[in-house]
Amino acid sequence: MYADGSTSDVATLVASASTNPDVNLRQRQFDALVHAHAGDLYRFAFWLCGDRSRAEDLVQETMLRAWRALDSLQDAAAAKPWLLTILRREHARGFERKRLDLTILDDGLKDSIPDEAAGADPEQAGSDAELREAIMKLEPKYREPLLMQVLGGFSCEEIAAELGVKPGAVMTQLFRARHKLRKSLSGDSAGRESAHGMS
Amino acid sequence: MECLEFRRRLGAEPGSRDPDFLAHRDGCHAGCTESWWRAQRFERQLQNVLQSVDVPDDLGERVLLAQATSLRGRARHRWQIGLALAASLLVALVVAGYAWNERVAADGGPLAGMAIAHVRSEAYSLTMIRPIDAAHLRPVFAERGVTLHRAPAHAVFAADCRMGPYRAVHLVLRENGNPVTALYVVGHRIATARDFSRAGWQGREVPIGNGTLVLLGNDGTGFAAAERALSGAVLGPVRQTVEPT
Repeated sequence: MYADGSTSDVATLVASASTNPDVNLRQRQFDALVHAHAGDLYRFAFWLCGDRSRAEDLVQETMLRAWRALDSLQDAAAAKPWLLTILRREHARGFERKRLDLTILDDGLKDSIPDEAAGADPEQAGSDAELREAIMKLEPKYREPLLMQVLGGFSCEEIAAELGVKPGAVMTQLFRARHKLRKSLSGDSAGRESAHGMS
Repeated sequence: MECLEFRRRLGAEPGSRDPDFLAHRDGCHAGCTESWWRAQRFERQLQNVLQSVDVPDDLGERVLLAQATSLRGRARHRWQIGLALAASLLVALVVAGYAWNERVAADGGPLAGMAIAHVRSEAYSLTMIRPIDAAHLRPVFAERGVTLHRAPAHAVFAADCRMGPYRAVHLVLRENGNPVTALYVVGHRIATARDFSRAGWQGREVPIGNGTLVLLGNDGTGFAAAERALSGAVLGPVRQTVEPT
């Protein structure tokens, strides 16, 4: 329940923790971080690596690193991008170590993602499934900035700073990422249309 | 802003709130408004799909459990390191103590050093050869508060001396022609007898009465006789000497 990151839960936690003098402030701050952002981190991790257990490991590793560096977090509003940055770097380290085979991840994707649209409009459900597959088939250089923007709320400039590229390059990557996704959707005319914008 | 620039921005940042971008959206009659609406619908779908991943219910609790376990593990690790350091320190102290004890046993204690220094300063005493009788010895012992019970045989030199902070009776005995120096340190009794070898001297320290007898010579010859003689002198007929270990 907390994993969805609802702010009311965070507020309740902080309020209840403040009445318990036995829990130190640092631990309370960490608890609140976990309950507020674990869900977002998990989704981000899942779309990065395409594997549920690896995503959970990434969240665990990210949070343990965050605990050790908690004193460097001065602004609560910066918590989410801070955590996502840690997670992304943690994933990059793991990627370097394991050289994950993206093809294998793609094969396991259909089993990994629940069909949330089951029972909804069949046409919409089919479209969502196509989109899921298309997201996972995106090359990491397109998928990562897209996830940072859509799930993480990063601006183009922030993504550029994080990835060490120019903002213009990030704009191009985002444009192409969306173009590829829209093109993958059956009968999408917008994909063809937007292809004229930037190639 | 032109249509091309608008479409570029729309593809990269469909949620842009840039005034020029929004103004073009509202004012363009070349289909940009419709494109914007299609882009917003796509963004909504994209958001929904990305958010559709089920998060394990107990993920937060598991993260906190991992954190607590990690903390305890690190605390335990620190405690183990502390324990290992303490054990190492203890072992080092024991080894150092043992080495010091061995060194003291080999070199003799502080008394040995003071005795050698004193004999060097009165080296002429080793050249004496004329025996001294009890009448001459008694006042020397008395000066140091010791009653002479039986005059040691073969004494050729006797003096009441200071040896460092201690008062001592300084004798030289000639056993088979070899001089053996016997310094009876009054009021300072060591725990156990021990032989030592130091600075070219052979020596022995023996607790006798309420003092310590320090014997010095070129070798150990004559030490046993000298020890018996001094023990008889200080304690009388009932000897309570302690054999060196």
